[in-house]
Amino acid sequence: MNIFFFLKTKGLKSEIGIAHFPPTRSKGYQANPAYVCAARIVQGKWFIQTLTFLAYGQSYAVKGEALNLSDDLLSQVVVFLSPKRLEGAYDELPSESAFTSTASWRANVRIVSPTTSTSYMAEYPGEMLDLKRGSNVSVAPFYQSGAGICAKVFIVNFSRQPIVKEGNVYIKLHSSQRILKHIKVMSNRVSCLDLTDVAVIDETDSLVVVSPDLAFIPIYFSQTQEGTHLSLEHSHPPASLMMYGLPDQKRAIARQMKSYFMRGIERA
Amino acid sequence: MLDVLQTARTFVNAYRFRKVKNAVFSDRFVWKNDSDWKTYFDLYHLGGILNPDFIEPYEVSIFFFDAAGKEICRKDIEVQFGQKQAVDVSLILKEKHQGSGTFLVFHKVAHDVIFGKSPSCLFERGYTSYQRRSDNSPLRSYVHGNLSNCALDIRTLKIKNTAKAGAKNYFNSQLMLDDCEFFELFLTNPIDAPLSFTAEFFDKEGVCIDKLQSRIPVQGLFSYSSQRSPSGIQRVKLTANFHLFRPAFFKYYTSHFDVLHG
Repeated sequence: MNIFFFLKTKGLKSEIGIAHFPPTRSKGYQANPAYVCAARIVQGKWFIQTLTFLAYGQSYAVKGEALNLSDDLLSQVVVFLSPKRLEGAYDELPSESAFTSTASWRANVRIVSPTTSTSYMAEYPGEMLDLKRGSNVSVAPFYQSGAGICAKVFIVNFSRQPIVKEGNVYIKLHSSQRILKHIKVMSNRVSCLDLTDVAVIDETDSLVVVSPDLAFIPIYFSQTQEGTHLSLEHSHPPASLMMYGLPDQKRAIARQMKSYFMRGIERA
Repeated sequence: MLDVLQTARTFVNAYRFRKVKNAVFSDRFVWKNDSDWKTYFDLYHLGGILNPDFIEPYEVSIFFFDAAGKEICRKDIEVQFGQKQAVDVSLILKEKHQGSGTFLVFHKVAHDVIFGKSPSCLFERGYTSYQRRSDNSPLRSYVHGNLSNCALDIRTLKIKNTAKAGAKNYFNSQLMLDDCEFFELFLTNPIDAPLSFTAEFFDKEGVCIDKLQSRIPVQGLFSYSSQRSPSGIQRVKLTANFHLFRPAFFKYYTSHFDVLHG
């Protein structure tokens, strides 16, 4: 089961466009009933509510403002499809195989201004929900700099268990390894970090976003200050930059790469 | 039993790798170039990202094709460790090549320099961005590569699409298209043969309101533009003899546009 999330930043709205059909023909796939559910952690448990029933072949836009939550609470909400109506407090997020496929089942995560919108086809994979520990390195990020541009990165981390813990995120320069920023974020939410002040520090040395204790999906966002122009995209994990090689061989290369970028950073 | 499977997987991977051990790979990216559109590509020292001990500069070759699949020009650029370059594709294509087409980005470095004994090849999956002059905006809109698996033999400089046609399958885009004024979609050909396909466009009731059939030449590009608002189209379904026949979408709003994969 993949989950989806809101990308909420000040002054802009966030929506999730969720579809009840698989992206490709999947052997053995049967159309299940689908309920669009939303969940967030309340008093140590996942509190889940069903938003609507979604007929097969239909799509539905979950508007963040319709949930009547503050920006901080909206950033802690996950949305997913369930074959059953769910209401109440749960010890963990459900493990559902009903809405999985090859290619992955995605939703359209959007940031919306009064005159435009930007989005990408998102997923927070079920496998990431079950990671016991994690770390991440995001290289080659497409931040933009210049007069009138605000550059941000969303740090997306969620787990099946309703545990909230602190993680550390560092912004570094690639070749000099100089640490520009150290920010503490909480897990099980989407954190929005401002890169505007560091994006222009050294235009010949690109930025790297690193965490020694948090696995996350980095999503880079740029906007003009008025919100009339927006840009959004996620960066690739290191393994996708390699063709061929067995999984353990690719993991060894990724570990070596991570080790380099973790230099100068204390691990938990 | 697990040992047997592991041995089999190792053998199959080694066999496949032997065919491409002198190759580097690239996704196929879309360029738009005219009086209004500019295209950029963010170029990094990918070898040094994957192997931080490899800090030597090396050459990247960018191959450009028009929509009919004909190679129109080539550009070689040196990359330095740790640096990012926003390659201005429009400066390369200039007024001579206008409209849209595709390009490939190959990092010409031997696999063992990056990966040692591990049977892996370097794959450029990276980030194209677009800017429209009429927006009067400093911002570029980004999209990543689209899984086209094109290989360059760094000894012979011959290009080959390594993906193969398969059983008929559909890509039912989960992206809704009725929140914008109009949209364009671009399809590249991932195989070394002309690729026929069917595109069906559905409204929000699930009724097919438009349908077309076409064929994309090798290395070519197909483009489609919906009518200006409202088109009534909510989603698109593509059918072809290929597993993941996924388009790039440009969605046009009042003040800006968005670009993403479906």
